[in-house]
This record gives sequence, structure tokens and C-alpha cells, in this order.
Amino acid sequence: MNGLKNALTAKNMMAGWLYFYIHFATEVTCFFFLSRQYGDSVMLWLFPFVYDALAFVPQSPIGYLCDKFKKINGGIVGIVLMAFAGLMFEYLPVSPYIPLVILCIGNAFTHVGGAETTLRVSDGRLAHSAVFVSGGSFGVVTGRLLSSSDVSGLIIVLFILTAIPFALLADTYLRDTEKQNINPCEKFNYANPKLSAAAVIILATLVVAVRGYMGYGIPTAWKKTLLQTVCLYVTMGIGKAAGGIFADAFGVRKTAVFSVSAALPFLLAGNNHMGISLVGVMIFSMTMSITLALLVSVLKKTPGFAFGFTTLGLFLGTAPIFFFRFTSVRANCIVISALSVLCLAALMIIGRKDEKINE
Amino acid sequence: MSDFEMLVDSFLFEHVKGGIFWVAAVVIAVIIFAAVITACEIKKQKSEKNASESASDTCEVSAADDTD
Repeated sequence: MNGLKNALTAKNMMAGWLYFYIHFATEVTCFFFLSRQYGDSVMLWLFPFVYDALAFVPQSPIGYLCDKFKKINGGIVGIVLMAFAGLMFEYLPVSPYIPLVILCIGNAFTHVGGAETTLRVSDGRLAHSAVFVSGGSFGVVTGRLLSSSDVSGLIIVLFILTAIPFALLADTYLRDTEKQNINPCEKFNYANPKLSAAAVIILATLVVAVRGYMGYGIPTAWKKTLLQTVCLYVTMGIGKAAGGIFADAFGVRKTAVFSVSAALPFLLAGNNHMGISLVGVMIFSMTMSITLALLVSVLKKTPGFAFGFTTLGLFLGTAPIFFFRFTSVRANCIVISALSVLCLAALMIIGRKDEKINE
Repeated sequence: MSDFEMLVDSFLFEHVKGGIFWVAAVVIAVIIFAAVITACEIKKQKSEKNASESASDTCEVSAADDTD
């Protein structure tokens, strides 16, 4: 229990919570405007696909840009771009693709800003970035719910602008860390030192891609009502945060092995049972911050760029869903089982065996 | 299917095809970028590691000389 308490009260943890809110507001804004466009049948399929590509994929070049030019505050840039895109959606009669691209780039900047800040201030811990990442799940479902209400887009634009003070405050934690004149990510030593950096990057990105695919492929026949959808996203968010906190308390390798192996039976048995399925979803979501920590361990000087690999992997994993889905539950279960074994093997190979838990 | 419906269908097809083309182009460009940057970063890290190792070797040798 002491380990969990230490993980939750770690130094600079507030930066993680500040970016939790910014991430939440980001996803509310993106999914509000995105879901409003679904009404147009032309956009039904293409719009989310373009969004996924343009919000996820450019995060590695944007991350690299922010790594090299540390004065760029990704959070602020992203918030301003998203607010501008929201105003364009509401008031400018232009092709919806123009504000969509701006919205995606804004989303990418905010994510990179969050990753840069939480990774650099965490002193080699995962809880900060895990808490930041978890905010997104709550935002996705809130944005979708708000889009079906009669809330004006202007309210959402004002809402995203409330994240600016949070981004400025989070930035002060980053500046304080940078004064210490050491590489803030030096303590990320979770990757197997016997493996080449390139192999770690390829395998970790593969795990993210597989996880992305599985996230859409999880059998959830039980998900029929709005409340059940909300429960699914909330559980995902809790799982993502718990992954980082557990990894700090018990070790990255143990958490990785637990999350991949323990989630499978719950996911397979939970097709028609919400409670069982949600336990599986929560445990399964815990791998999120672990792959990020593994990537940062081999790209210590460019954490923003390392974060970009996770989102690139996520896109590569989710892209096939737009073209192809298993209709048979049994085939889906077989694929999920095989992919879990693949993930487990990859994580066992790239994870460091003699890791030290940060006190 | 009426002429109008066929026209709408062909428009949608072109629309979607164009979207996929641009998405694929962006994805491929970013993957190439990421691969090049990663190679450069790994090379830089290796050379920095080698430099620090050789510097610590030099320190050890000079410390041994002092002891002698």
C-alpha cells in the first residue's frame, strides 16, 4: 500500500492532474465537433478516419519539433488552434475539412505538450503521464454526449479556452525541472538493455498497434445503452491511470504481464456481461503508459518524439477497423487471444528484468 | 438505381478515394520521417555513450597513474 501511496503523492504529480483537465477539454472539443459532422452521410465514415490519421500520426514530427524547440508550449498552441477550428465550424461557411485539419493539428499539439510536460517532470515515474492520458477517455464520451444535446459550439470553444491557465501552470513545473540542468528523462530505464533501441521501438510500437486494434475488437455485445457506453469509457480512463500508478508501485514488467494476461479471460467471458467485461477493459487499458515508458527509455532526449510512436502505432492498429471487421464472435475471440499472446511475448522481451522501483 | 443516385455514388467514391489517398500519403511521409530521425537519434546516443565511456577510462588511467 505504501508503494501506491508513494505513486499517488509523487513530486510534481499536480502537472499530471493539470494535463488531465487539458486532455479532457481537448477530447470534449474534438469529439463534440466531430460527432456533429456525423449527421452528414458523406462524412460518416471518412471524417473519423481523417481525424484519426491527422490527429494521431503527426504527433511524432510535432513531438520532435517541441523536443528541439523547448520554448514551444504545445498545450497553448493546441488549445488556440482547437478554439479557432471550433469557431470556423460554427461561423465560417467553408469546407468542413479545413477546420477538421486545424482541429486535428491542435489536438496533436495538446497531446505532445502533455506528454512532454508529464514525462519531463516525473523523475522517471509513469503515474504523471498515465493520469494525463486517462483524461482523454472521459473527454471522448463527454464530447459525444454534448454533441447530441443543443449546446452551442461557442460554449465548447469557451470551454477549451479555460484550459489555457492550466497549461500555463503546468509549464511552470516544466521550467522548474529544466533549471536542474540534467536530462529529466534519464531515470526512464525500463527497456531491456541487451536489446537494440531500434528493436525496442519496433516491438513497443507493434504492441501499441495490437492494443489499438484490440480496443475496437473487444466483444461488447452488452453495450446497448448510453449509460453502458459511458461506463465503458470511464473504466478505460480509470484503467489507463491505474496502469501508471501500479507500474510505479509494483514495477513496469509485473504490471505489463498482469495487464495483458489477466485481462484476456475477462474480455472473452464478458461479451454479454457488462461487469466482467469492464474488469477486463480496465486491466487491459493499463498497458497504455507502459509502452510509452519503454519508448522513452530508448529515446530519453526526445520524449515528445517517443510519444509520437505510441500514437502512430495506435493509428496503424485502428486503421484496419475502418475497412474490415470480424462478424463472428468466435473468430474475434481467437484473434484477440492470439494478439494478447503476441503482446505478452513482446513486452516480456523488451521489458527490463532487473528494474528498480522509484522510491 | 437512378442516374442521380449513380452520380452521387460516384461522387462519394471519388471523395472517399481522395481522402484515403491523402491520409496514406501523410502516414507514409511520417513513417519515413520517424525512421530517419530515430536512426539519427540512436546513432547520436551511441556516439555520446562511447565518448563518455572513453572519458571515464581516461580518468581511471590518470587516477591509477597518481596512485603509482
